[in-house]
Amino acid sequence: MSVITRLDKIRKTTNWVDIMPLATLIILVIIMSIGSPRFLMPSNLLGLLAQGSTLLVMGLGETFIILMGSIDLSIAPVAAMASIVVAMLLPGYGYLAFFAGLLFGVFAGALTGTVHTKARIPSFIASLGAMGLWTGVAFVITDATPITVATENSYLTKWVTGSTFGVTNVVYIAVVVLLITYILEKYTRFGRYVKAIGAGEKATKVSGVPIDRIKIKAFILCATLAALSGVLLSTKMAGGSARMADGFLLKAIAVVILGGTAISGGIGGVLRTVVGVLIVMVLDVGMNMFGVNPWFQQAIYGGIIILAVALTIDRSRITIIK
Amino acid sequence: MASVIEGSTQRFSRLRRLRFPPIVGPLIVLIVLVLLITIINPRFLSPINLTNLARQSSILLIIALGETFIILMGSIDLSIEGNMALTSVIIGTLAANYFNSNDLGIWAVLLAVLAGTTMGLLSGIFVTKLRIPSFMATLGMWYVGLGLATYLSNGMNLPLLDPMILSWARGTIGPIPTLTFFGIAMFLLAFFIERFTRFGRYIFAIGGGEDRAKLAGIPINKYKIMAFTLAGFFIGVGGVLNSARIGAGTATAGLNQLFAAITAVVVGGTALTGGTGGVVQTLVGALIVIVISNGMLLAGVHSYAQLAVQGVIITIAVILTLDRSKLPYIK
Amino acid sequence: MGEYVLEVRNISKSFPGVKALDDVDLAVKPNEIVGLVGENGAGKSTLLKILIGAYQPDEGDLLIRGEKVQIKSVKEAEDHGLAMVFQEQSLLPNLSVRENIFLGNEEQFIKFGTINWGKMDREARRQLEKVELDVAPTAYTADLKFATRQMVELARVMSLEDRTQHAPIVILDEPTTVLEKNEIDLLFDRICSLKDRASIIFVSHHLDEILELTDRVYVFKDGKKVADRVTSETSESELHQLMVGRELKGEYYRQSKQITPADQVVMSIQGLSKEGQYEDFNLDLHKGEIIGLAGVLGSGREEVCRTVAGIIKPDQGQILINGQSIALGSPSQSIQSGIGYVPQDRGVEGLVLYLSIGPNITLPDLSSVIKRGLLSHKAERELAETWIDRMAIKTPSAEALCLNLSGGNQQKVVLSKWLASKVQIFVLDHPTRGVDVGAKEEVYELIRELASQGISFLLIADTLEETIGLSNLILTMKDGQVTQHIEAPSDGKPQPLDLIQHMM
Repeated sequence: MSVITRLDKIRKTTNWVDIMPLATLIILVIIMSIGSPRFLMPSNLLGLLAQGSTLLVMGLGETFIILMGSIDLSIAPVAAMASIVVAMLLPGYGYLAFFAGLLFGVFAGALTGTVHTKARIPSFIASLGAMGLWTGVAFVITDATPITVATENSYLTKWVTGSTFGVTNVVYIAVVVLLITYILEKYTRFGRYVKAIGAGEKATKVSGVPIDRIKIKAFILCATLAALSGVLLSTKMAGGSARMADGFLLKAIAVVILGGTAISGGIGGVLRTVVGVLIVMVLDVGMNMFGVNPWFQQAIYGGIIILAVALTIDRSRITIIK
Repeated sequence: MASVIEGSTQRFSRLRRLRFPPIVGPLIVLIVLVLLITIINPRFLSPINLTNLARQSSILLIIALGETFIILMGSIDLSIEGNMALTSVIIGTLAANYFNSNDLGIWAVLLAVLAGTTMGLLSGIFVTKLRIPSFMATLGMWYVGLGLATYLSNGMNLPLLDPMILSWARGTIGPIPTLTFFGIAMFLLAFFIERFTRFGRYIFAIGGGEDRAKLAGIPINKYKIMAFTLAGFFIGVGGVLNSARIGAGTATAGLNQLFAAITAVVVGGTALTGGTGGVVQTLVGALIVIVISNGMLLAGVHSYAQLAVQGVIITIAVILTLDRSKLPYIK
Repeated sequence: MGEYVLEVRNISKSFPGVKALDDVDLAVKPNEIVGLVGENGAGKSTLLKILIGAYQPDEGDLLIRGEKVQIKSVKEAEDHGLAMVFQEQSLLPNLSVRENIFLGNEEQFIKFGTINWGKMDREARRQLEKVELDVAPTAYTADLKFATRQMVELARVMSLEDRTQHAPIVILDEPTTVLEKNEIDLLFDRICSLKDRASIIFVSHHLDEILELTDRVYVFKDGKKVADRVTSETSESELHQLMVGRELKGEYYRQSKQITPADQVVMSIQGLSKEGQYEDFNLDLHKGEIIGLAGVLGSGREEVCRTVAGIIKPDQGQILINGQSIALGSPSQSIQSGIGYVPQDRGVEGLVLYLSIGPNITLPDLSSVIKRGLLSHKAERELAETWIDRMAIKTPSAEALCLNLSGGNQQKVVLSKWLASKVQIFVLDHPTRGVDVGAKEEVYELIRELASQGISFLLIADTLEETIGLSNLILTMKDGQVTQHIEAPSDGKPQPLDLIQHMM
């Protein structure tokens, strides 16, 4: 308790939430490059970026939700559903399949957001319900077996899997999404209102901001980006499956919080999520290098989430912690 | 201050409606479901199917009972699947099994349940001492448990050989499945705790108004930790029994149990905002969940569709039972 | 044991910017009913909070039955036999009567870890008999009427008698606010019969009740005890006089700059009603006019203001802005109609504390800083700097979070926010609360200046003097009704006593 009080004071009086993530990243990179000189080789770094792109896309969407002080637990099955939509439609409809996948994301987000705001239930339960719904639907329509896309259709996925100037296209896609979300966050009403809702929902409401509309939009953005990451996964795996995005929920939330966006809302942003993704990527590589069992890594991430939430949360703004 | 009084009066009248979350409602739902399914498929009431129902509902009931104590406080425990995975793998490694020569018998059961209890204890400590919301702390614990379990089992099934443990899930006493007796015993234990111990009453006090309970001098943190620990114990028992049912220790022992358990609790009428409901409600809720899934199975609906249906049911049940006057903002 | 069961000696308590209690004394004899009266903000509730351990005094002593004590929590206060029947009831609605009575003190009923419900029942019944309340100990509090719950709470307090082996000291804080006439009679009857086994501190805005019930009465004013009287030797008018006390001070409220409002009606409120809050509220606000609403807690004036701001949706009535009826119950509608609300709870509703000045000012209307479709941070910073300049907001930098500003400067940001959105009508709900003296005068100056520019105000002030000093017209309210219109021109200000008789 006293440790927590002291911690709160440090967090209040310094800008350690700004510094810590970046410092952690730098320290991790230094450790890694000492441990393995190959780590800093361009080919290795590019490989890392390619791996991190899908996670980044998903994390960027979740960033907006956590900035509002809410949470979306349904992103992994939404991504899986998008991958299934793509895999099912690609042979018949070509490029339209990708739009259909994204459209599914828009729909899923609108549903979660509307249920959350209009039925006035907490987002974690609305999105938990959505998580069950989409997982179930995904298993039913695929009959629990992955759908593969025949190789003759692989030209359709080149825009993701191909390379330009020696870099996999998926990296460019992630960078474009980053740019768009950065502009959304910094230079639009939407981004401003999202931050204001997280920083003080009542005052924002009294100032006349249409809270519900902004929240629904944020959930649509988040689910659409989750669907996009599902689309990216489907091209990489040449198919779709209900299990496609297993484990992504935990990591997507981890990258947001590790980057320094607090679960209590209002503080943080998409650039921090980039730092969070880099931390997770370096950690992944590091743990693999030191031979940490991949299953054990999952347990470690569970612990990291708890720790990161404890370090970044603003307790003064939550009177009773349930 | 007048508005405060007004607010509390409104809260009271709303609670009056919710008080004793009319157990009648869920009970009617249960009866209607039973009738409906029987009309569609008379096999539903056949002795074999009834035995099946009794068996299936027991494990769900036990884990849902644990979750009930948490939700009664207004918190939530999302770590059910991780907890069950870990207990299952521990029993699969320590009791007689195909893979190693361990044969600790009842000690394996105790150690597995102890592990589940410890998971709950840790969640409770994280929530109260690190002061982070329970849904985040238990989300983390979910993956800690699941990751550890998959790591320990190498992602494989560890078939159980211990006849005693296997008989718990497969045997019968007279015409009634042994598992049902476990369910009844755990229910009675939970009922006793809820109605006749100070701990049980404080759970309601915390859920009814944590600030007021604190004013009355109740050490909130202590009882919260106890509640998470108790939930861990119940879920651990559920994990062991589910391993016996599957016939193996496996990291997938908890698969989809989180949904089923939370659905059972809220469908029974325990509000997510805490303070109203209880283990009797959960008994009815667990039966509803099992009857629905059994009915769907009989109707030939894909077994995976259950998850989707439960997702929808959870949401609707929360919409109906949530006491919004208790939430200053809905995040 | 001395003459007194409870003694408060020279207690002082300060909060940032205010001295809430200044060297206050109070003493209660055994089996005595002591009244406590004073205007809002006189320091009554601060003293009560100190007595039940919610606040710690900066100076002074508390003595219970002659012994110096330190009270750090409600529980500790109860252990000394001192307890409060809360205005906002402290019973848990989802627990039974018997459980509420003994909440936190169940040891005596527990054997082998099991609660002996039968014994708890009997004991609860005994406590309920003390207040002559006939209700089943197993009844759920949520199912009881307010008055019955209050009696249960009284029974809970009386159970301290057994726990501490002393006659309890009972604090009743505005117990009659939401009671019906016959319920009040019943409560008084019970209080009188409890007098034999307890001492009572009775806090009320209703002076007739104080005169009827108490043996002695203390009068608080501006954090000080201004008088104590034996009840039989005082009168309602004397108490009024004591509560109001001093005369208006010269130019503090910039009275000479008060203008005569134009004839043009900018806002007309017609037949506004909200059940349980206010009834048939009518008002015409003219251009440049300042209308003050005076009333005690529960008079409904806050709710009227929040209705105008669009936060509360009324049951009946309409609001016309420049003759046009506006949609009610939506803040954005009110804002679009040119109404700016400066709320009482500045940190929660007035400002987003975790944003800096610029984003707070642009929150209602971002359009002025959107250039070519994108939000211009440069334009926003310039806007912030303009307002920092114009309103003389003291801040470390334009980027500092509002969290780090003083109360007065925060209030200036709230005002800037609405001025930047070009509102024509301000609803000011305690605009100077938690603002230090210097900054208060700046706020007054600003209000006058804006009024002379034709901006109109609906005002709930912090004190009666402030209401009188600032307003052109004062409406007194009581129990949700407007009781009087009192003109307050700069050369003929009414006296506080003229107002208070219509408020209580």
